[in-house]
Amino acid sequence: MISKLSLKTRNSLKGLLLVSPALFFFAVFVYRPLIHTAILSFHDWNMVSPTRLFVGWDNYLEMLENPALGKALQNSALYAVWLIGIIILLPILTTAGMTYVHNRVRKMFRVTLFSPTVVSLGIASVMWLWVFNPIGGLLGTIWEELGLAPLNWLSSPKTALVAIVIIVGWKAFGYNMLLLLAGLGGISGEVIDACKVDGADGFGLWLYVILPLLSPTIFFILISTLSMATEYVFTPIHVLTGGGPVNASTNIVFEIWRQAFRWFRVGYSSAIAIAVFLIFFVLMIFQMWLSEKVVSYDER
Amino acid sequence: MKDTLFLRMRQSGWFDVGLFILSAALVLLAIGFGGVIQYNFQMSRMPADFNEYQINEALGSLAHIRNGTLLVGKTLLAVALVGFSILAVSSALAPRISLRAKKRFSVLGVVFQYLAAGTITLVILFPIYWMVISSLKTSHELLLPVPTLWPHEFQWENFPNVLERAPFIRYLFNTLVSTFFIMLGQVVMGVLAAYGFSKGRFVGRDTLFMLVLGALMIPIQVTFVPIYVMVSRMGWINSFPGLIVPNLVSAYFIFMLRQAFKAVDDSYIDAGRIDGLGRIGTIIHVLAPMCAPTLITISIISFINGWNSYFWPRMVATKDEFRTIAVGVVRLRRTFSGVEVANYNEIMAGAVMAIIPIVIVFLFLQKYIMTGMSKAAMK
Repeated sequence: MISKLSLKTRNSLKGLLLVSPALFFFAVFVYRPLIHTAILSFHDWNMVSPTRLFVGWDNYLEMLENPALGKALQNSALYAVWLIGIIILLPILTTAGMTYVHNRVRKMFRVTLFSPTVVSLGIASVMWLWVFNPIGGLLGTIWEELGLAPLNWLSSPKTALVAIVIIVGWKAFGYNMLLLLAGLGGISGEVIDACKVDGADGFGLWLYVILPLLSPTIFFILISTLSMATEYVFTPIHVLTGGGPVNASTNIVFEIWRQAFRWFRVGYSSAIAIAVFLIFFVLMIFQMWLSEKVVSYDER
Repeated sequence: MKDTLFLRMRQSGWFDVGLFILSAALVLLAIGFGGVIQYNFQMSRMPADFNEYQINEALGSLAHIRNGTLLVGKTLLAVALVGFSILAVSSALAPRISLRAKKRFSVLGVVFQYLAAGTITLVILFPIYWMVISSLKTSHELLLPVPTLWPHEFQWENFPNVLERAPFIRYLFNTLVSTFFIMLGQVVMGVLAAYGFSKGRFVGRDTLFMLVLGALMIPIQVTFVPIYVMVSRMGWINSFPGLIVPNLVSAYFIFMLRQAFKAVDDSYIDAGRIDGLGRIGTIIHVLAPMCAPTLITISIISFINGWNSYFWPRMVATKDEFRTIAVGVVRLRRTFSGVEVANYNEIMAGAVMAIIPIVIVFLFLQKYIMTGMSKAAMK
């Protein structure tokens, strides 16, 4: 049967055959659940009962009114600002300082930078729980050493969010910096020498030559950090604070989980999920647009 | 002449390793001396009638830590100095080859860089170090008001104790099995799909690829409720298929492999075809050897991610028979029912056991991880 088709059609079919398992998987485990989530967001359901009640836009309206969700949204923005600072801008600045570090040191340094990556976030959270512990913990001791009032990092509403940020920062800083160092190593010395001959010096060289040449790496980091961000922040919240104290450390992704698995309000949870998806979608589109505008893939 | 010796020393890479150690030593010494100054200051204001215990109480960790930090700093300094002298002697004795310095560095810049590298190293590695030494302390030492940087007494029983408390061997087995199959699935499916998307010729190829990119942007944290419902309807809660199947394909790896395959020129594939290879044969005999570094990197990253994943295993595995190691370690806290503070040594012992296999994998294969990742980041 197949042999009767033309060569071109046969090639097409075989190509499709290769990609179909992956596409089938995405249909079943990514797109169908997404559509299902959208449908659920218009219902009231507790995950066990055989019937679900259609409630129209009620879940979305509740989202607008619920102050807890406002808090979660505000926290998400705070997390984003902190983490952009710690795991994107700080590595860029530090890498800027590392232009001359010798190769052999770089190799040792790379091992240092990569080491948090091999520690599971769940385990890292437990590890940091011990570091944050008021009795016998490392940070508390240093804190009091500096003459500051004793502080229970994870159970104080003022610091719980910062504590989570520290954990995520510790986990992701090194990995991003490693990628930046690799990108820096990939810039040819000739280009830089040429610019030096033309009179570019320290800061100008960085801003106008090295930074644009690093832009693909920076873009890659933005994308990979954004796609990991949900898991990055969710795990420490889930393990350590459970969103508390008084919603001080919760964020919208954690709210999806909490509404569905703690309070069994699947419909409301799905509505939040759809909102998160839309936010993500807009951010991704914005990043794509930014990369078209800013990233220069030339001269490589 | 002195100048030339210095230049000769600097040509060796070990010179920079020495600088690296030296900078870490300087950071530690600075902290230590800061401690000493503060110590003397506080001692000078100490009421005269205090006994030794009260003085120690008032000083807090200053009473111990400053000396420890200074000691480590001095040791590192000594190592660096001995290294430098060995280097000086060996470069003085070495046959005189080209003495031309490669680059001119500003001294201040180099000092700053090495200090930065030293500080980052300390900050990143210290929590891990803290975890390892805490796992060896006794409960009594663990709760001293002033933590010790090195255990007075090694309590190796913490490790067997944890094994008795929770089925860690079972956790390790579960993690290994599920991680292996996830890795296998992600690599095989990734290679097939990436081949189709990079070298296949069919209508709508690039449109279909957008579906893959889209999947990259929908995290499981958004869609987990329907996935959970689906998995539980299939009866896969607390089973290996439940752990494995929802992670079987990774959009990220398809993307990375497609980039690698695209870089391979079509003529190699055509040559393979002429020699009578089918599509699978082309992948195995032509593309796989040419893209070996990417394939190895992806396998390793997939392994590390699988080993470390927490979100999905936490939801699917609610019984000890199917828990993975990361979930198991987090669960460990609950088994102490309220007195966990005194038992952090055992919890940390569990955490250490959980990361040992992955650290070994990393140390043996780090060359591939690093090269593969740097390539990925530049595309």
